[in-house]
Amino acid sequence: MELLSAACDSGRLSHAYLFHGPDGVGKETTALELARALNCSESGGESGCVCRACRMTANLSHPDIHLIFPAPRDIKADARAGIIASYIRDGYRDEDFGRKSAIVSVESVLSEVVGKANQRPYVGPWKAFIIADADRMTTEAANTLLKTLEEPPEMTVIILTTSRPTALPATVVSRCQRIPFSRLDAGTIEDILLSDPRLGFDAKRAKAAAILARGSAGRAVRTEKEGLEAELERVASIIQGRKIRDVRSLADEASALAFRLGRQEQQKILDLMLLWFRDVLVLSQWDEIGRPPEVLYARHRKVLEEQAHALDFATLGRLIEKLDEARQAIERYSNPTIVFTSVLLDMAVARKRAGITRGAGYAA
Amino acid sequence: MKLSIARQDLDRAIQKVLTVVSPKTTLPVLANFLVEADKKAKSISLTATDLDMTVTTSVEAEVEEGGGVTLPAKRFAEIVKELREADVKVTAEAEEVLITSGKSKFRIVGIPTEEFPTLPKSDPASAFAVDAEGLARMVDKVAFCTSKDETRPSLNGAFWEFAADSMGMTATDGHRLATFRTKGKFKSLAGKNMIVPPKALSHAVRIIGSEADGTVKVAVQENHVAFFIGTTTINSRLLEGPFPNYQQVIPKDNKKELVVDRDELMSAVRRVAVLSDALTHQVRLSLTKKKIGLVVSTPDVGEAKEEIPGSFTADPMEVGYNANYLLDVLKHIDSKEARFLLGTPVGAAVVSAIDGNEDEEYMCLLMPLRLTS
Repeated sequence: MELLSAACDSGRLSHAYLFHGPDGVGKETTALELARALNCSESGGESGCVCRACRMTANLSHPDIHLIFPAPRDIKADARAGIIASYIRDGYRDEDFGRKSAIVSVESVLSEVVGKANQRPYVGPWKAFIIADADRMTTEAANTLLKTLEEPPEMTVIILTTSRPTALPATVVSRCQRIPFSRLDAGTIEDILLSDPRLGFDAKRAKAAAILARGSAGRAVRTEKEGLEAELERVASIIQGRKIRDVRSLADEASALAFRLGRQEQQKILDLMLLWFRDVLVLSQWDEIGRPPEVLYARHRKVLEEQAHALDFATLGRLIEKLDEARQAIERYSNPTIVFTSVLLDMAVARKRAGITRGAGYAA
Repeated sequence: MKLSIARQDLDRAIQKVLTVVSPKTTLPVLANFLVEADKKAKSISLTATDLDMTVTTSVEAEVEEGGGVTLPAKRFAEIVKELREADVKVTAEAEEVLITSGKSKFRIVGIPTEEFPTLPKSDPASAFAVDAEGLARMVDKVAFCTSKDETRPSLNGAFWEFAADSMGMTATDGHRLATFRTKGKFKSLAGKNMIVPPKALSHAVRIIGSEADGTVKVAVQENHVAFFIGTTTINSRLLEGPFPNYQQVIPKDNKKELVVDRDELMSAVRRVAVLSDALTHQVRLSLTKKKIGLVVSTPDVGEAKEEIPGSFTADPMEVGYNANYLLDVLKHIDSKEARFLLGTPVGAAVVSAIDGNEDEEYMCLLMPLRLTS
């Protein structure tokens, strides 16, 4: 942050930045803030400025500040407008497109970046282009961007944000100045959630969401909006194997997860599963002395304690590792049916070995 | 805001700005007009923008109370168009707008004016005047060659340049080029140039058509150009340069001259082009002393042949063109006969009128297609 404001003040701004770091730590927000500061017409970019330029930036209606984000290829203009409107209203961008994969297409790079960069600024003085989740650019889109990225016209700054810098072509990365963003601690996230009235958090929910968010304010907001409690119940039920009686029902459950949910939802399920075992791990390490540790699945404390007792450290470690791998596999577009079958099978086997009977017997 | 206005005047004003409102926009306020009423000036102004170009037009009205509001453009336009009474009353309180005319009443909800993007205002005092007809003519002659290829953004506009005693405009898309120069006094602008998006130019021409009063004022700033036409102002971004050095590509020593009746060639090209390839639109011209043969031969489609009179000064040669590009160019030549100056069959042809106007220079460049057989 200091780096950017120093660069901004001294006028030695790079023409292209790559903001990389975990999801939801404020990369887009920082990028927009930089763009706002550059084009502020009155206070020189003080935060909270209400000059016309800053207001237009806040409404994403500034003619020289462009936010490009991934969306399904066939998205309609009003759907796009809806996303922008909710971004302005709620302070976060809804990225769930169900089973459709969201990309930054070559058409949008051409018309929104290359074309606009070669127009003179309208209000100015700067033209800023923010490509959010730039790793979702198609190869073609990235290649189209290269020339503009390397030598943009004067008074132009291009900011790419990504949580997966390695997924970007080296040709793109090498043309940008890299700025790393790190995870936020739970306290900071709590403060962020409480500071923005648009998000509508009270103190108690902010705390729970902050724990769950694992360093990402964006994730905290998203999980909350999507009905955290219901999700927790659903995952708890899956983990306890309530529906699973035999191999067949296990396969059914796996294919339900694989076919009914989009990729993002699948990842969230796996995240929540991970958090379950984090709870188990925390409880198993608690030596009954001192304050009982806080757990996320508070309603299932009994089951958690039972599992903490029954599962040994190595098994827990294996399960956690397994879930982590599964998450990556989904990220890399592996077959979700196989991934979920394998995850559920491992959990069932672990339950059986540990002699956990809750949720009906399991005959392998 | 409280005002009363003649329906026809309002409708006419709306038509001047309506086309700027794009049907698909990601920003809701861009689908609205900004309506501002000025009590002192006894007028209202309508503004529409697509963030590339802003058009404002003002029209006389009886303003009882000044103020501003933004209104959904398409709906407002439709209402005004369908009204039957001569007068329209518009009353706005905050974002709620009441439109009454005779016994019709409409209540529509706008968006706060603060959300309407403010765009730079140009001062008509710093503008220079050009002949309206002349400007429209220049744009018409040149703008059709503007490129639509987004990978070469500097060709997406028309290059407008000034010298002390003339101004010129040039556009090209790499396949054809049109350049026009007309005399005039532009001492203060000598050496200046800019690349103007064709959208702004064509809109200016439209407005000139509806309210030309002899001259148009043009203000050039670093990043914008503004046209003041009657009561309408068009303000547009400019494109980043540099525009390629087009002088370099105009062949100077094309000696082979072809003179042909323009209408005859155009109708012949249109006929044979029916069978041309959907992608290349190739038509082959066989040039001899007294005749021009046109051949289109497309595998799987068929063949068309035609012959028209013409005079060619060199040894017989064959050359191929994109029929559409050829027609575009011919359409913009004014004289009855067109003159083609050719070099080699793969070099550009220079097309111009036979007896041009003294005060202007106009030529088009047309790149041939490589003939395969």
